[in-house]
Amino acid sequence: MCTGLKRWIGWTGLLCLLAGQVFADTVSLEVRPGIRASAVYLKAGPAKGAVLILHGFLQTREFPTVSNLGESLHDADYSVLMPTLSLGIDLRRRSLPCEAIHLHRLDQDVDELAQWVDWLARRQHGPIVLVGHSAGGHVITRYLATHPGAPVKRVVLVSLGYPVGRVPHRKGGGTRTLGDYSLGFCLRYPTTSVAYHSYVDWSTDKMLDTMQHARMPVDVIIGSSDKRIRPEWVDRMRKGGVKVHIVKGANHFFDSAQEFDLDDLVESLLDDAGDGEAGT
Amino acid sequence: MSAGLRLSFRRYTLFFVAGVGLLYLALSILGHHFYGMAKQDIEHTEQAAARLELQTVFGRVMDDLRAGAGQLSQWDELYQQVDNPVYFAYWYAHRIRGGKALDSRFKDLMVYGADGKALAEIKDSRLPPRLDLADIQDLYVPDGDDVGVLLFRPLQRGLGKRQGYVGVRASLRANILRLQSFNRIDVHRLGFMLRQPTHDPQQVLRAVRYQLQPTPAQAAMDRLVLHLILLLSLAVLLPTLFLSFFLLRLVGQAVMRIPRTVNILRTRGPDAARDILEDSGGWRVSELESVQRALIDYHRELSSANATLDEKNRELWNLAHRDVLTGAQNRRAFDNFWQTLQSLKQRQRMRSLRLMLCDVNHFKAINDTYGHDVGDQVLQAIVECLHRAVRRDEQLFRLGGDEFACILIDCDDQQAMAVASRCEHEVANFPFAEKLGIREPVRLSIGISPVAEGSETPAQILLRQADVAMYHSKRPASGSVCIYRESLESRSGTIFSNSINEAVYRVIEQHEGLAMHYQPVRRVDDGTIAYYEALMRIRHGDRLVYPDEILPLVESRHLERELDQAVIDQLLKDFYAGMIPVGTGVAINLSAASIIDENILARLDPFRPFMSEHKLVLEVTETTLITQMELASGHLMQLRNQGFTIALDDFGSGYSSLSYLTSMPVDLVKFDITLVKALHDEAHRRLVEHLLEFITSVGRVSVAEGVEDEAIMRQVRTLGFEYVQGFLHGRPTPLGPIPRLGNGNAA
Repeated sequence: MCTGLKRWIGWTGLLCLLAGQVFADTVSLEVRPGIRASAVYLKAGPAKGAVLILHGFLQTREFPTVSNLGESLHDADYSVLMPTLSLGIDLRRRSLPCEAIHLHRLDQDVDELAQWVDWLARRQHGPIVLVGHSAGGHVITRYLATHPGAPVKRVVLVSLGYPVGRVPHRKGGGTRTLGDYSLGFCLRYPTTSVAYHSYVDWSTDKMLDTMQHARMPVDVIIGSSDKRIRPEWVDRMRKGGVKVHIVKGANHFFDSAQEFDLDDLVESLLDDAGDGEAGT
Repeated sequence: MSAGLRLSFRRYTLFFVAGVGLLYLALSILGHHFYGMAKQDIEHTEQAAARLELQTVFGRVMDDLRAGAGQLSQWDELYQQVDNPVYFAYWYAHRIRGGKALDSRFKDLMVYGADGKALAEIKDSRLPPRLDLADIQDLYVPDGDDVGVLLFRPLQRGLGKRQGYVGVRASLRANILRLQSFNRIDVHRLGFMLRQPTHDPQQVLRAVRYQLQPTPAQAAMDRLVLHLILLLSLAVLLPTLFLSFFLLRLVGQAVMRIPRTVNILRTRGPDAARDILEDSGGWRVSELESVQRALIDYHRELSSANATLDEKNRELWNLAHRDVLTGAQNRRAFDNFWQTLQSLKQRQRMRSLRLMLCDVNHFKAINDTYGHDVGDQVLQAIVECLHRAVRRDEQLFRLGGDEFACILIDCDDQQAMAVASRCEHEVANFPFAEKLGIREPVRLSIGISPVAEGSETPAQILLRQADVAMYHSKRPASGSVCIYRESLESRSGTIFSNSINEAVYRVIEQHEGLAMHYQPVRRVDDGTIAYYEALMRIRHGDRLVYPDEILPLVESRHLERELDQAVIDQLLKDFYAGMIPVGTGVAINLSAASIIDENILARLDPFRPFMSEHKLVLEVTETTLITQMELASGHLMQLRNQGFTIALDDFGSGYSSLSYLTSMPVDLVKFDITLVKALHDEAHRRLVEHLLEFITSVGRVSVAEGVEDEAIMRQVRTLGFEYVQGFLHGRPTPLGPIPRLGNGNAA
C-alpha cells in the first residue's frame, strides 16, 4: 500500500470521527422532576429539516429498526432526533422488561414526546417529521390528538401497532395498587389500573380518527409478513383513508433486506413534498 | 557334615518366589518413596503455582463481580426503585427473588436511598439494612465454608447527583466455580475458613482451603508410573511365576523323580525303577533322566557288588566263624555267640543255659586207623547227627578236633539230658560201618555244664566244667553223658590244673620229677616175678602225681610221645642204675602215638643191651592197636623180632575184639581189672574162661590184672592164667639198687 493511500485513509478516518462527535450528540431533558430522558440527536444541514423517530413499546432508541432508520435518514441529510422515553426511569438506558413494574402512562409518554418535538422545533426553526415504530405510532397519534398545533409537517408510522390489553391476572386498583396485566407482547405486565388503562383506552378507533383528521400527511408502512398487525386493522386504515404502504416480505421489525426497503420508502415519503401513494 | 540349610526343592522354590516377591515389594516401596519425593517437589511447585493461580482467579472473580456490580449500578429498574420505592418490596420479591432479573453472579441485592438506608426492610436479606456512607468498601463475610462478597455501588447517572446505592451479595466460591479458570486447584474441594468479616482480600486468600487437582501431567505421570509398576510387576512376577512353575513342574518333578527313583530302587529294585522311569509322563529332563538311569545302573552294579560283597562276607564270616570241614560254627563263632548271649541275657530274662560239650571216643584211633579222610567224614556225620538231635535254633560249634559244643537255651538239666541222649542216640544209630567202613562203634562222651539263672559264668569256666564232666563220662563205669557238679572237681579238678601242667612239662622238657614205680607181675605157677610193670609217677612238691591225673592232660595236649620218651629215658637210667633185677624184666606202657612213631625202633633200641638178662615187655592198649593198625602192627612186629614182648593191656575194657588177637603181634594179653574182679560172677567167669581158652589157643600168654585177694587168686589160678598182677602180689613201688631177688618174693 502506497504512502499516499495510507495518508488518505488516515485523514478520512479522522474526519469521520470528528463528524460523529460534532453531529451525533446525546441530549437529555428533565421531563419530570427527577426524571430525565435522553435522546440522540443527529444533526444535519437545514435543507431537509428534522425527523423525530420514536421507538416502540418499552424499547429504547437503540432498537435496531429505529437506530438504523435514524442513521439512514441522517445519511440522507436529515437531522434526526431519537429519544428514549423515560417510562418513569431517570435516564433510562435499556428496554424495560415486561416483568418490571410499570408505573408509566401514555399521557406521560405523549408529554415527553411533546417536549422533544418542542426541543427539536426550537433548533430547526420549522416543522418536523414524526416517525414512529410500532407502539411509537400509538404515542404519536395520541400526541397528534392532544396537540393539534404541534409543529409537525408529516407523520410516518411504521408497523403501526397498539398495545392490546387483555384480561388481567390480578387486577390492580386505582393509581397505587399493582396488578398483573397483559399488555401488548407482555403476558405479565405489573402495573396499576390507571397506567394500564392509559394505554388501552387509546383505542384503534381513536387512532384512526386522529389519522383521518390530521392536518398533515400521515403514512403508514406495514410489512407484508408482519404477524403482529392484524389485517383487519390495515383494512380499516385503508378504508379510513389512511395511506398505507405495504413492504413486501417485511416483518414487524423490517430487518434483513427489508431494512433498506424501509429506509428507501421513508426517504421517498419525506422527500415527497406532497402526498404519498397509498397501497404501495 | 556341615550343618547347612536343608530343605526340600519345593520349599526352596517357594522361598525363591517369596524372596523375589519381597525384593520386588521392597524395590516397589523404595521406588514409590522416590516417586513420592519427586511428587512432593512437584506438589510444592504446584502449590506455589496454585497459590498464584488462586490469586489470579480471585482477582478475576473480583474484577468480574465489580464489573457486574458496576453494570448493575446502571440498571434502570434500580433507578426506578430509588425514584419510587413504594413498590420495592414487590419488585424485590418478583424481580430479584422470584425473577431472573438479577445477574447470575449475584445471590442477593439491596437498594439503598441516598441516605444509605435500604428502600425496604427485607427479612431474609443478608445485605445490611443501612450503609455506612463514610466507609463503603467491598466486604467479605463468612458464609459457612464459603465467603460472601458484598459490593456496594452508588446509583448515579453520569455526573448527576447520587440517587442511592445498590448493594449485591455474591458467593465467592460459586463465582470461582462459574469461571472454571483453575488448572491446578480442585474447585470441588475449595473451601474458606474466614472467621470474621473483612475488607482485606489477602485475608480472604489466606482463608482459602483447597486441594490440588491432579494435573494432566501429574495424572499422566501417575498413569505412567502405574503402568510402569504394572509392567514391572508383570515383568518380574510373570517370569518369577513362570520360573517357579518351570522349576516346580519341570525341574522339581524331574528332581523329585530322583529320590522317588531311589525309593523305588530301595524298595522294589532297579527293574521296577527303570519301568517307572520309562513309563513316567509329564515333562522330562534328559540330563536328569540320565542321572536317574545312571543311578539305576549304579544301583544295579552296587547291588551286584553288594551281593558279591555279602557273599564274600558270608564266606569270610563262614571262614572266620564256621568250620570248613563240618559246616558247624567254630570257636570264634562260639565266643561271639556267647558274648551275644550275655548281652541278650541282660535284656531278656532267660531261665537258664546249659553248655553241652562232647567229643568222639577214640576218634584219634579211628582217624589213625582209617585215615584222615574217613576221620573227616566221621566228623561230618557226627555234626549231621548232632544237628538232627539238638533243638531248632540251637547252634552247634566245633571247638577243635572232635570236640563239639552246643549252648542249650532255656534248658534245665532234664531237658539237657534229653538233648544229649538224642545226640548219643543219633550217633549210635548212624551207619558208620555201612557208609564209612568203620567196624568199631563210634560213641560220644558228653559233658553238660549248667548255668544257673542269673549267674554270669565266664565261657572259659563253663567250658572247663563241661570238659570235666565230659572226661568224667569217659571213665569206665561212667555213663556217656555227665552233668557237671562240684564233686567232680575233686576227681578231675587236677586234670587241667596249672600244677599238673607244670609237673608234666617239667618231666618232658627238663626230665625232672619223674619217678618210676614198679609193680611185679608174677607167674601163677610158682609165684616168681616174671617182670615189673613200670608205672610212672611224677614227683611234684611233696606229693606224687599219678597217671589218672597225668594221662588225660597228656592226651589232651597230645604229649603221649614225649611222655613215653621221658619214661623210656627214666627206665634206661633205672636199668643202668642196676635197679631192675636180672632175670626179671620191665613192662613199658607205650602210647599209640609212640607205637606208630617211625622212630620207635630207634627210641627203644637203647634197651637192647639189657635184653639178654631182662625181659622187656611193651604194653599197648586195644586203642593203640586199631590206630593205624598196619603201621602199628609193622612196628610191633619189628620190635617183637628184636626181642621185645608185646602185651595187650586192659583187654576187656574196650573193644575186646578177638579178631585183633589173631592178627596182631601180641604175646601177652592182660585182662582188665574189671574182668578179673567180676570173676565171682559165674556168667562172667565163664566168659573169661572162654576168652582165656581162645587166647591160649592162639598162642597168647594171659595176665590177670587187679588180683587183690586170695579169692580172686584162686579163680585166676583155676582158670589157668599164667601171670597175675595186683596188690596181692605187690604194690607199685620204687626200686632201689636191688640185690638179686629171690623167686616167689613179691616186691
